Amino acid sequence: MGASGGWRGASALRRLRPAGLAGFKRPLSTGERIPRICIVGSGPAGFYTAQHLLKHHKLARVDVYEKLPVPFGLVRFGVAPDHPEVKNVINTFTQTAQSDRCFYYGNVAVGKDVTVEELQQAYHAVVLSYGAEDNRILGIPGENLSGVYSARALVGWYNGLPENRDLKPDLSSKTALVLGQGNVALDVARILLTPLDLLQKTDITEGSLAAIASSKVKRVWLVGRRGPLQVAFTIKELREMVNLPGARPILDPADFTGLRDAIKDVPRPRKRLTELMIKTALEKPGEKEAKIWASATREWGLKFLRSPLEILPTADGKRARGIRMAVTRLEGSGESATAVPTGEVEELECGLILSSIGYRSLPLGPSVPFDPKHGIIPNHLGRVQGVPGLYCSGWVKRGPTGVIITTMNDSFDTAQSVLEDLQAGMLNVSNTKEGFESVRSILHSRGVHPVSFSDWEKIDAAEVARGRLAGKPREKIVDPQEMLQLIDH
Amino acid sequence: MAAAGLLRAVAALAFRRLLCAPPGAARGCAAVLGPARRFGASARARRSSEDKVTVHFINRDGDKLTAEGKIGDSLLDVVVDSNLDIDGFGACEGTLACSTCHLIFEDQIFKKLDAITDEEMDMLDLAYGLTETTQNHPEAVFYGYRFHPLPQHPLQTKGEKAICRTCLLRSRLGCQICLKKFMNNMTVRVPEAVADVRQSIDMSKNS
Repeated sequence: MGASGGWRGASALRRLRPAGLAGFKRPLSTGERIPRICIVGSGPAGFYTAQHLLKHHKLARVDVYEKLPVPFGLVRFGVAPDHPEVKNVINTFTQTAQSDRCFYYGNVAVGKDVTVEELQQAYHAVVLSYGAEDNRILGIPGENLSGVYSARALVGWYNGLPENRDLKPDLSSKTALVLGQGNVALDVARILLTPLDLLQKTDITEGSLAAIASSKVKRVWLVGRRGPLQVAFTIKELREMVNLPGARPILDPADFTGLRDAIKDVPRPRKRLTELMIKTALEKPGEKEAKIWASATREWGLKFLRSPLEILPTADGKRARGIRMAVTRLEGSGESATAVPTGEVEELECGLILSSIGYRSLPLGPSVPFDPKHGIIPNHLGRVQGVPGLYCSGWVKRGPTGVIITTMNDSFDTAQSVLEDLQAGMLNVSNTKEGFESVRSILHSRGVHPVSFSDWEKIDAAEVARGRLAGKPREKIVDPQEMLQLIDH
Repeated sequence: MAAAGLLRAVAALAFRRLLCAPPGAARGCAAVLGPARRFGASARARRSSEDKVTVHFINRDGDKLTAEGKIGDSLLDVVVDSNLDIDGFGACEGTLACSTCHLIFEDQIFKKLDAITDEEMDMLDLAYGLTETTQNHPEAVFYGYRFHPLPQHPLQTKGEKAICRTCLLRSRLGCQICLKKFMNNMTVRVPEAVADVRQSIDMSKNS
């Protein structure tokens, strides 16, 4: 075959020769010490950081620690099941993990099973790439009623994240409302509305597929505090919604009239995104779209200038039955516009409310600086402020935004900082470090059994085999105990 | 395990095809390749050298990499088949789900490329990043590239983080561009990626 399939793309990356880093090309001398580096978190940030370090340093050994038994973080647990193409990055991560200078240790919770200080003792450099595991809360009355969930929990549920496997969301309401207008909001809306015959060919979990099969949700509103020019989702995800089989958009023309003039001078991405909304809202649909929309049994829409005030309970006070929202107006313009309440209030009946207003990183322990206001580890180009030898990459470094290429670039940047510090002699590699050898005994004494990458490959093979029986790419195992049993832990 | 790995690889390949095939995705490639792609290596070797096209890549560090590809190969194929060292190139393996194979073309070549699809444009928008304009310089659009090596393209920037408009208008995704004869000896440029505008904030100011 002449085409470049996944394995070739990935292996090509492995064979690449170091370039552009003359300082690291020097021939090996017998006295050269091996830098021991560890990475906390095996999502895209962790693996892209590892990839860059291994590629540009001929001796460095990189150990990747992961809280869960299984690797890849949000690529496995965040990327929507109907976006398998995004998950192709796993092929590259797998090649990295299979390097003889890279080791994966799953089932190890840093901060609990082993502390950051202990890792700093064992390694010359520690890179924190543990992401943003928490979500921002609404802080309004009724937030804890049944029928109200974080979009993040719903995503975790349909993607088989162990901590969300028992979510059992109540999908008996005809109308669902998502607070937030980012890509996660569009993801959950799309999964709730996608025809079952399409969903069942994805790696969505068995349990969530069954629940969605009996879902009563027919309409999903996506609500934003600001206007159409401030939406956070990107055009690819919007286009998918516009073209979603069996669903029609319900957009209020009043929200979009006159917008064309406002986008004349904005950057191309925002301009094209807004144009697609305007076209969908105001123009006569093409023949194909008109046909889909006419026969659609489900619908989705965008609501602007609404800020949630209170989730309204049912008469028995147990469940959500609707939401009260403040009508807002914009002060200022463009990306920095702010929403100000007008005093007007709107109520909307909906029994399923999903908050999708952003993720949040959590601090890892007293020895790691944390900026609670921005929800990140304070750093300069990935170097953690005031702690030599400690680095960060990905969402915990810059906040929970951006697509995979953003994380890739930022992880390469952090790896570059580590390489520069190694070259400048700022990381004392003449002081030999044991790396995992010393961590092993700590973990052993605490009864923690790490999962290796070949263990993961067994779990992976079992999932793929189970999926094959169901006509899916894989059937994810959602119980960590079952994963561990599978590998005789 | 080997079988499972192979299966996955084949699945990935099939998937890529699937995505390349629909109208609007990878026009050109699929049509040109068709049956030719199914030939084994020996059949390929027998094909005349007329089918070869030479491409020069200017890498992020300014290094020139030269490779040969077959007519109908995508530029992503060329990079992968020749093991060209371009960091992070083609992360989604040609499925139009990322923008890591972003390339900038010479004007005379760019003009002759097949029209761009909405889907490719959508991904290129992400390559630029949803970044800012400045009030003072409405033309100074920041697209997150560190340097611009062509003196004849004036930079419209504040600081170093911008891509000139001329280059912006000549951007395509390498996975969507398939080699044709007229491309022989063309030079394409890999834009230098840099930290997102948000992260270049100096965090040391926060304490």
